[in-house]
Amino acid sequence: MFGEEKTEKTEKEVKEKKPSPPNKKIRIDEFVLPQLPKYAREVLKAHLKKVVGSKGTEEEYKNAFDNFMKREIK
Amino acid sequence: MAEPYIFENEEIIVPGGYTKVKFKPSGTFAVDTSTILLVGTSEGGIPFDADEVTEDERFGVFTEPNKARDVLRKGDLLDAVLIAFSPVSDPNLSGARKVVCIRSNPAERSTLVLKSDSGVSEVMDVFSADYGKHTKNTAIQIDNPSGTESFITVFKDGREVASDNLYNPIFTINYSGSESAANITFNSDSGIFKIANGVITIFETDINDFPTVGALVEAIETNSDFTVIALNSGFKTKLMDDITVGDAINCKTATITIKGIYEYQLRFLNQICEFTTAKQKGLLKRKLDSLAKTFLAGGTHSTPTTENWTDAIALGDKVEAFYQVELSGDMDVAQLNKAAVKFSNKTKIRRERMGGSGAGDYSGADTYDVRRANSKALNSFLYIYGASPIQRYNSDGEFTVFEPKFLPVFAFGINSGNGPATAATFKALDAIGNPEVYSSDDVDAFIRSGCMIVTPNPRTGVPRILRSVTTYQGPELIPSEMSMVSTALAMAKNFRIIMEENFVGKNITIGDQGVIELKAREILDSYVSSGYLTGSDVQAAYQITQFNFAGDKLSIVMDLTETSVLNFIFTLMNVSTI
Repeated sequence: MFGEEKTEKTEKEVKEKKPSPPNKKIRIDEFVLPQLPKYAREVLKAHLKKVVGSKGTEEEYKNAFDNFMKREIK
Repeated sequence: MAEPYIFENEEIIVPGGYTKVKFKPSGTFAVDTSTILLVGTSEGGIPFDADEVTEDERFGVFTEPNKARDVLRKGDLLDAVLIAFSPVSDPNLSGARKVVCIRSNPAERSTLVLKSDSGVSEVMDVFSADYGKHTKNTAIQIDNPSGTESFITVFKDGREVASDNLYNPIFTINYSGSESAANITFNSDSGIFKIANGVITIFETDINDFPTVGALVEAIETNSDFTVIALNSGFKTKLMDDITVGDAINCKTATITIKGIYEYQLRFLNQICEFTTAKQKGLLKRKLDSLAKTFLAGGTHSTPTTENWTDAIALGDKVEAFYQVELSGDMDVAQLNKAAVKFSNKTKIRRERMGGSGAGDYSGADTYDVRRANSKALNSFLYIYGASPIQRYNSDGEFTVFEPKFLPVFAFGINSGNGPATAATFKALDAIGNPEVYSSDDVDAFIRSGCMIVTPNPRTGVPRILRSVTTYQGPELIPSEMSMVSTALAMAKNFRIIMEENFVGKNITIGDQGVIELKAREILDSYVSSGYLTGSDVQAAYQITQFNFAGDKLSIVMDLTETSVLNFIFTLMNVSTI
């Protein structure tokens, strides 16, 4: 369903990713987004950086991401 | 109710001959540089995420507005299509030639399960052909007035589609042998066609070995105790109606007609009737029960989320288009769309494209300052941003103030219909006006920030795009002017495709190299004659500075002088007296 330049790296990242301790702050670059076109991931990371900052817990990033993606836009 | 037909931007309802004379657009390219892709919400049409169909079927392609009206029914997407086809009121200018639509709001079909054997078996799933709430007004009625008559009527939007008689006798069979009974069974799933008297088998075959009725009849006739007459020889045996033991079909006592009614009923609902699709449910093929007029249920549509918009925009990667507009009115979605457009233009992707978005809540959150900030944040010569609302009649003929997000559709519609070099600047829009009145400072600030705005022509009062700027924040003219960017992209696409189609994969001798350069010059000359490029004694329209062959590679470098749009006329009149 998604664009052409997208998933391979993400899937690899997902496989290799070890869960971070709940309160450990990570850099936004370390937060793994689900399968999306590369260009969309860049936009979403920029949004997360704006909302959470360049460092945050995995949960903070995940919540911000979920809230963003579930936001209804008419 | 009689529906008007739209011909050249005008609704025609009175019968008669109608003619319109138009001048040809100033110049066109051999390749498609005019298709507009729109991503937005609508009441009808297949949504971006419809799993039941392939990705290629999840977008609608329209070359005229009437078809779009039928499919999309209502909503931003339809209004945008109508704008794209009719962006200007100037009779010498045209609108888009082809518009592709991606429906961004998730929607489900309505369904109904049809039964056989007096309600015992569920044998067919029927779905509305379209998706969304409106599909719940689709109804089906099945009438089986006699053993040799079966009719289906489908109702939708006050229309009826009625089938012919779907009774389908395919062969008759009679047994005159010594057995006391000859009961027929047929299992379409296993393919076993059997005639038996209790445990004694008289005839049995796998119909997969006899794929047509004609072949099966020949096989049965090898037993001289049977009299078999084919009535529909070409019919596929695997599509025959199932016959169970419970049916007690005995061809000893009477001549039996074997039928394929279920298949005809399925074909009508799946292929012939435009309002429905259908598929077999379970393993049995049995004639459908009679059914009083019954409405399908379950059709829904919902407000799209960011995720939905993301996926819908991503589907745009599958579409061949030159312009891509999203109609969310949301800045995050605009950024996603811009990222998709920039991705399209990557050298490796080879998909020249411009994009556009616009403000949504112009009377609320999207203040002038917010709109200007949005445009600055987009900052791309590939992207335009609409900042003015526009009054116009919507698809239902209601006076409507369209949000600024529709403005890029006007601009791209003008570009699409009249050649990419046609600037939207000062073109009289097919609209009533802009409810916002801007001060001189507002106008300056909007244009400086790369916002496209609408102001009335002070002489005629007709609304017009004041300047067709891109969101590019630098000082250079070409990346700031939409028509010059689209012309550059169109020239690049046209050159690339023609050269590729003519020469890639061909064996090139030293002698052929000159032919290739000649072709390149021929293309560039066509740009000059079409007015896309222009030159003077000081600066040539084009100059090929490198044309180098090395192994299997050809590298071309050229300097082009693009024709500029005239934005300003400065006149200084030094007036004095004697």
